[in-house]
Parts: sequence; C-alpha cells; structure tokens
Amino acid sequence: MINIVTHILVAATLMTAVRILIGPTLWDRLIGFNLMSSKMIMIIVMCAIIFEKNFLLDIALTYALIGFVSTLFIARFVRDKGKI
Amino acid sequence: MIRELIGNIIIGIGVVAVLLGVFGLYRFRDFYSRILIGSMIDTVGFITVCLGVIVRSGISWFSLKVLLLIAVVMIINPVITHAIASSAYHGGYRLQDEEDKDASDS
Repeated sequence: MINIVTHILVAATLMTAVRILIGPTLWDRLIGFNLMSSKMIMIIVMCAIIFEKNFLLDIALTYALIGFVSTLFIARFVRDKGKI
Repeated sequence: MIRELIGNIIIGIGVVAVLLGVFGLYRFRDFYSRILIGSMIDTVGFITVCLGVIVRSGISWFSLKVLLLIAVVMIINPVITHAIASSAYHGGYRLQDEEDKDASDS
C-alpha cells in the first residue's frame, strides 16, 4: 500500500513540475514550486515509513522551513520589483 | 492490524485529494482560481495523509514528529499562499475582465 502511494505521489510531483515549466506568468511558477515542495515532504514521510528511520522526519521538517523562507522572499522580491 | 487498515484507508483518501488538487491546477484558465484550488486542496491532502500516518504507526516518537510537521505546515502553507497572491496583485497582474472594467470606468 505504502509503495503504491509513493509511486502515485511521485507521478503527482512530476505533473506539478510541468506547471513550473509551462506556467504563463512568474506567479504560476511560484505556486507550482510551493505545491511541489509540499508533495516532496509527503514523499519523504512515506520513505520514513518504508525504511523505518526517524531522522528522515527531521529532514522533512527542515525542507518545509527552507521552502517557506525561499518562497516568501522570492514573492516579496517580485512584489517590490527588485528592491530588497 | 485493524489500525493499519484504517490508516491505509485514510492515506488513500488523502492521495485522492492530492490528485484532485493536481487536476485542478490544470483545469482552470486564470491564475487566481488556480492558486485557490491548488493550495487549498493540497493542504487538505497533506493533513489527511499525515493523519493516516499517525493512525497507522500508533503513539510513538515517530507520530509525535509527524504531528509537529502537521502543525508547521498548517501555519506556513496559508502564509505562502497569501504572500504569492498578494505579490501577484500588488505586482500588477490583473484578470482580463477587471482590465476591461477599469478601462470603461476611466
């Protein structure tokens, strides 16, 4: 069950990555990046179940926080038109 | 054993929600519909999958860490969505109908 779910989530991640490639505007690419990082967190949690390792959840938490900071500051950078 | 079965069913419901979110990302034509549907359904799917993981693994340090992950994502996902939508609005992105209305008003 968990293996099948992991494969489906990988397929969903690739479909979201296509939105990053074809997105008409810059903000479409940003929302694609946000959704892709949340699906990556789900894949890491599934890997933590499969391999029965606790430290993979710490990696998932760090991934969530770094994705938050990077997306927030790219959004602010674009809104202020390049002024930091 | 029955706990694993219930957890697997909840994870399946969450994966269906995630797939609906990916479908909605391609279904709609304009940006604001896409950001609404994509982020909301994806947050629902994330929380449901992690609740399934908690039910599946019982009470342990593992499920406590997953609970912390749910708490973090419930805070930061709406904040990111608001930041992107606010950036699009203040950065000058408008829908086609609003542009026509603004032009007819002025």
